[in-house]
Amino acid sequence: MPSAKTRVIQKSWIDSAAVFFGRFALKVYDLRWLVLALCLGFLGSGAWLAGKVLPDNSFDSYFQPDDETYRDYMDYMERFGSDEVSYILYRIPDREHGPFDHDAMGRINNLTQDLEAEVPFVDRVVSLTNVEFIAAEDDFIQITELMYNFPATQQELLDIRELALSKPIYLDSVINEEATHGAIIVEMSRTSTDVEEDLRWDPDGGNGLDNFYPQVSYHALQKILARPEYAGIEFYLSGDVPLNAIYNETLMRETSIFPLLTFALVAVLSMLFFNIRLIGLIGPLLVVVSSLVMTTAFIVLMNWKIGLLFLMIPTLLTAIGVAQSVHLLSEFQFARSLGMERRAAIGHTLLKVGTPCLLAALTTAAAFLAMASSELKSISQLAIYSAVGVMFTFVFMATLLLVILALGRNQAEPEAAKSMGNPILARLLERVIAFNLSHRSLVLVISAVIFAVSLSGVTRLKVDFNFLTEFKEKIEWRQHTAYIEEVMGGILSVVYTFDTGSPDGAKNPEVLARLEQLQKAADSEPLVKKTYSIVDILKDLNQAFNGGDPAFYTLPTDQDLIAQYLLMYEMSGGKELAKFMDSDYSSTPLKLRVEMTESSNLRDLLGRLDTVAEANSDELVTINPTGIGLLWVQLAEYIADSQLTGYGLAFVMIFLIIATVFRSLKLAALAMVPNLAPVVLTLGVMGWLDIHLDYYRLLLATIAIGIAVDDTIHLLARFRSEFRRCGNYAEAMAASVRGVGQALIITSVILVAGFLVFLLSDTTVFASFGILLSATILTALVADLFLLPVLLMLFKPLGPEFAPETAALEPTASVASA
Amino acid sequence: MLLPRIAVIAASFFLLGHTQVQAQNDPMDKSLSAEARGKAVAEEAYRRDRGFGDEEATLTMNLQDARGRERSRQMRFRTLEREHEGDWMIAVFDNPGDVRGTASLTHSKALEPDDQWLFLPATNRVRRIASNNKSTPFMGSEFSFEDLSDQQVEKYTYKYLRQEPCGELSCHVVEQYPAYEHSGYSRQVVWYDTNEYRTHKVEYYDRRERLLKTLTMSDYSQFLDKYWRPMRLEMVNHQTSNRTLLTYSGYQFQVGFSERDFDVNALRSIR
Repeated sequence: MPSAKTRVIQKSWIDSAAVFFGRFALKVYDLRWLVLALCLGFLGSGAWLAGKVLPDNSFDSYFQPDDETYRDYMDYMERFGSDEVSYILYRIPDREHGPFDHDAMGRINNLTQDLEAEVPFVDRVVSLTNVEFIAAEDDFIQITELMYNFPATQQELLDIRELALSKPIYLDSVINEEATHGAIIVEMSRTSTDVEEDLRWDPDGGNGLDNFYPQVSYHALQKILARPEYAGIEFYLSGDVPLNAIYNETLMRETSIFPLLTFALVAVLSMLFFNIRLIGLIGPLLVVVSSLVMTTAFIVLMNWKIGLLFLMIPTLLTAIGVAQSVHLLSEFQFARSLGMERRAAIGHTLLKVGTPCLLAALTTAAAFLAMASSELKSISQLAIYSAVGVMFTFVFMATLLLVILALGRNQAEPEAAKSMGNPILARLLERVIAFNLSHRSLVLVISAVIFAVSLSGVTRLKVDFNFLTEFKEKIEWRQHTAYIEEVMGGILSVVYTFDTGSPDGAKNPEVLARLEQLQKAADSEPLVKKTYSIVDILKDLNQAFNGGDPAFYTLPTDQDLIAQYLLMYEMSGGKELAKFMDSDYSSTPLKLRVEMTESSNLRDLLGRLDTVAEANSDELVTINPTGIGLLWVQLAEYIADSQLTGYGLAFVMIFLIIATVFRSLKLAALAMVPNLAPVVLTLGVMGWLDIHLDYYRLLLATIAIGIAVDDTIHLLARFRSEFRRCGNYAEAMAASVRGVGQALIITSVILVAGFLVFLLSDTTVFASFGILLSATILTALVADLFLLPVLLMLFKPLGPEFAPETAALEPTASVASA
Repeated sequence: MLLPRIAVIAASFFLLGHTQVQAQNDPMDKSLSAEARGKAVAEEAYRRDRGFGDEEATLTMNLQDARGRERSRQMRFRTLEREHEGDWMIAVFDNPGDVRGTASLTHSKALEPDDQWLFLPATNRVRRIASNNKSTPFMGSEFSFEDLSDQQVEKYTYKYLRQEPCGELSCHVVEQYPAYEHSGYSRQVVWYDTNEYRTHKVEYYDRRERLLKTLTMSDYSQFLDKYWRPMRLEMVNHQTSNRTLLTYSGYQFQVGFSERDFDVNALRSIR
């Protein structure tokens, strides 16, 4: 044991804050009805505002308006229209000719018309019956629908099958090469990037999700496909509309269910294991619900919408709100058990836990705010509203919860105030203390080894994700999409635009030859399932103009001829030109349909195609990639960048807050270790197990440090207090672990319970996020209970030890009561 | 209904199928049913445009997209009025340069699809073309082939809506519903002035009943003391904010064209 010296300890900011909180609590008690009325008024206004919140999971919710990639995509949309589709694959079981069964084709014909007439926001519907067909006979050219005159007999239909299979442009688009499956492509007039007023269906239909694109379109599709007249046809539905609709519905459903489940879990755990009384359930519930309402109101005030990332907020606030409340309730119960009157106990409680809770809230909010620098709109907004939400949990804990505690008889009721102490936990903590005292070196060595191994695992981490596998295998959309991609082709849209910058420039044969070259390169890629361009139409026209001779299925080399073919195409009723030439013929797209795959595969594919594109770009034509696929890759890169920056920033902000509050760089540095280590451990394990970071899991590090630091703050605050009392590190360590250890374990278990609710999500990304975050929080608890005490004892950040008799000036309830 | 010089644009390709129409009812007769009175207005407008013989003019088309980018097209057309059958038309493109000399010949028909031929100077060959679809845009403009095609009375059913002021004039407002297949519209609302039965405005509603486009026809000139032609037609697409302006010049009537000026051989030689 080091020798003790005596010294005088100056009053610090923390002590002043503690006194302030003590006096504040007494005021709250005295004015409890007024405070209650103010809280309820505040909440009423918040609830009114929160009721106006709208969901938005479009790409628009992710990108800043001035983002270059996003602007390019919007420009493409303006020139060529929406590239969003619903894709309906179908097969006709037990029929000899499959999709070319005469009766079935008749029903597909009706279905095509039903879809076009009834699906909201549909631009057009393309199926085998109405797909554009360029026919040539001698000097007669006709552009019509493949089955404009529906075949009268089965044999006529079989003849059409041979015709269809001879057209490369149909294969893997409306029919597969084996002619066992057909497909209906429902092209939409809207995109998820459109503004809200353009996505509302019924002007008087309200703000419900079902009145907006894509939900309204998706439900219409489902209803039509379920009609009895289409029974016997097996449908597989996928594409942008179902994907976005299912995402939005998952968001809304899980956002409303998960907080309830989280709280139910917390309640059960509290009742079973920690002997918390009824107030222990009602109080935190009020704090959480109030914070959630006000956070949502804040989102409305900022004119934002709730996106997919909002899903974590109710659970996050439940976890943090309950954790904050547990510290308060724990201290209150302790004070009452000592025989304090209610008023004095309330003063004592906030005096003791007010400052650490505020610090915990501030550091958590700071960690979340670090994400605000993200280039992704939805993440920077998440950063701000989650930070605001965390501060609301503190505000309601220090007001509303106190008022609830104040509603009761004032006299001391030591016998009624059951201690929150749990004998099993108490025994466990004594063992922890003993272990820390006797195995300091072992704790350090084990921690160092784990840290080193984890760090090497972190280097193996990869940022990657796949929208398809984000959904659990049991989800029908995933099964259908996987089947469609196996039979036919790509759901994902990638586009290369060939922009000449001059009117009629896209009719230049040299430009079109370069387009053909890139198209061939794309066709040779296994991930690219289908390509479309104006070159396909021109080849078809050239063949038709030359009597249908296959030798003329080539790209014309004369600009006048190309222009005149296109005029002929329009005059003959060709419908595709607006999709392949912009209004002044200065730009033309090459459209790819790509398999849903990992973003890294897509990035590699685009890298290869970009090389060809760049080699063909010069002053004649600029070739740029765009489309939903590129936005997807860009999204991944932005998230990776923003999270790496965000994590560093969060770390620095928390460090500065702790250093400022505790006036010790050394203490702040030590405090960061038990927060850094769990995150490194989790990321390291992910690296070793080859679990990729996706756009959601990347939030893990920042959120984990934001939450985990709370335990550290409570332990440090108590440690500082105990050290000032006793002047001895080992004794202070034992007292502080004994004092707040149970609350730390309880809050950690509650947090883990809260985040494990994510396991119930329909998306694997949320489920794994819940597991990983829970693991991180548990690891942080272990680090706080073992590593931090050992580090504090080893590095002595509060200065040399001293004799206890001069350690005064610790604020007390009596100070607060003065 | 009369879309006089949509019909004339149509000059380009698909002009009115001119069956002789006599007004069966007085459009001013308020005792008629809304359907009968609407049809009476359309018939009167159509009747007043008959008998011009032949004509030719030059058409300039200015296209402006939502971002304000503009471009123009230019063509000449000539029309031969036919009794008891659809008119015959030839259109020759002058601009843009890569389609210069491309010419089309259309023999309009009342109830059957038109006969059409196209001469492509790049190949020096003529091809007969056909189409089942007239709802596609014409030359990238906001006019569809359907807007420019045969506007015979029989192609629609009608409903008289009201009479109301239109500028300094008074107008019959008539709603009409396509009676033919594959129209891009659910209905059109047409404003005819009550003096001369000239069309001043048309609103086009898409198949989902949403307002798609509005056509405004103005700067009317009278030729041969009888035939009114709008010199300016502007079509605004409300869903895309694109607009197309058509202006006409150099109108000549009764030039003296004959059937021989409207056959496939003439198509090859016209420049």
